[in-house]
Amino acid sequence: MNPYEVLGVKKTASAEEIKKAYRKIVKESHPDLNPGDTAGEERFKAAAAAYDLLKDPEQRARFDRGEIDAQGQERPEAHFYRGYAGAQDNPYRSGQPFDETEDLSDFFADFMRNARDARGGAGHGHMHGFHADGADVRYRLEVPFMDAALGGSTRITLPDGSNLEVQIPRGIGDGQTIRLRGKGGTPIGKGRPGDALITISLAPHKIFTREGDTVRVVLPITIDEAILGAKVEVPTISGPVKLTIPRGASSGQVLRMRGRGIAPRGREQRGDQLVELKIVTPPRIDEELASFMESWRRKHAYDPRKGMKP
Amino acid sequence: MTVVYSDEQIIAEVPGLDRALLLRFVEARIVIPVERPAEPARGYLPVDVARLRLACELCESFDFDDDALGVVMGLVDRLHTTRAELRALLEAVDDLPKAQRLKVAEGLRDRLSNRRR
Repeated sequence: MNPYEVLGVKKTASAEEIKKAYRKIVKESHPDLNPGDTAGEERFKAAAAAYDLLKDPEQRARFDRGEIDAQGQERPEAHFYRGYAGAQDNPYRSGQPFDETEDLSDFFADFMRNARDARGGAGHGHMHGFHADGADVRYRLEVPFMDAALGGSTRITLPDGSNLEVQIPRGIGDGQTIRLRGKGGTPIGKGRPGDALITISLAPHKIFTREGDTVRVVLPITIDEAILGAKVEVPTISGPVKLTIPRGASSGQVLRMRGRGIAPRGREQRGDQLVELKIVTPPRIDEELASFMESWRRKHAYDPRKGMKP
Repeated sequence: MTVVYSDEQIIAEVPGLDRALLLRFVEARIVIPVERPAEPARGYLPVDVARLRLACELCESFDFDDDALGVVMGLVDRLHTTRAELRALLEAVDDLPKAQRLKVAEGLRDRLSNRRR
């Protein structure tokens, strides 16, 4: 890579000219500003690497003297913002978040109206002074796993130092938004105050993980429970529940507990809990166990890795 | 349920970002930190790493002040939201029976080609 060529400048270009050339390429080709333009992305990456090298006069001089080459200037693979920008759970998404429970009949009419004027309500009635609704204000809040699963409440501190009480609806998911009406920006005249929009991030839990309304848990079991089968207690979000481990269970086997998962926001029906079994050997292998296993192996050896040859 | 970055970690992660710049971006609400009532400090997610990287690149390239950067980032968000909505609409259309899909295509072509002005 010749960094001068990439930026389209002469070797004698001034720092100002180099910056100007780079700026032009950013404007035309930055992937976050020009989504969908794949050739542009390649131009931008090359230009960014070239500019990184040439913007520093000392590095540039060393490159000109042939002491360093342009290799190693490639930036580490960056995750562009556009990879997140359009995602449903992007907290910076513009406009109103779509409400899942919304009545569909006027969905398209609402969508078109939203497209025309993001928020109606500005400037009703010039006769009696100007009125406008307050702006929506966005916040982000990390919520403990259990509060999201079962509902709860917490407080957030606003930039002005005041507190806002937030009710967390049961079953809320990662990236979903809570709207607190009237807790946003101040209106002008007789407009309505804006809303606070709070995007939720779920904090991890030490035993549960969550995929949508399914809860997953890894359950350690003993060797004897695995071989003989057993009824054991399993933690669920609503307290311990007895689960039957089948005779001859293996590590990695997944059992489903219907209706023990999370009831998604606004619905009664709970999802399932998946229990992944994990056989744990005793903390100390005693003589009795070892000698039993040795004699057992002599008569009953088996090969669970049969068919694993690549 | 992903990686959460502290102030120090995100400064280390984003080229060109320092503490003063991060505070400026937070103040201008270009990034919104995640409030973490259960933890001693606020945090950031991978989306913020990508967003701050873009903000730093724009600042370095164009010498934007905070207001100009805020306007541009807002437009970037709007652009990507609109594209995502368009993609969702096209996917919904793609699920329709072929006859209806053609009708939508026809209606779209008419509207985009000025024939109905």
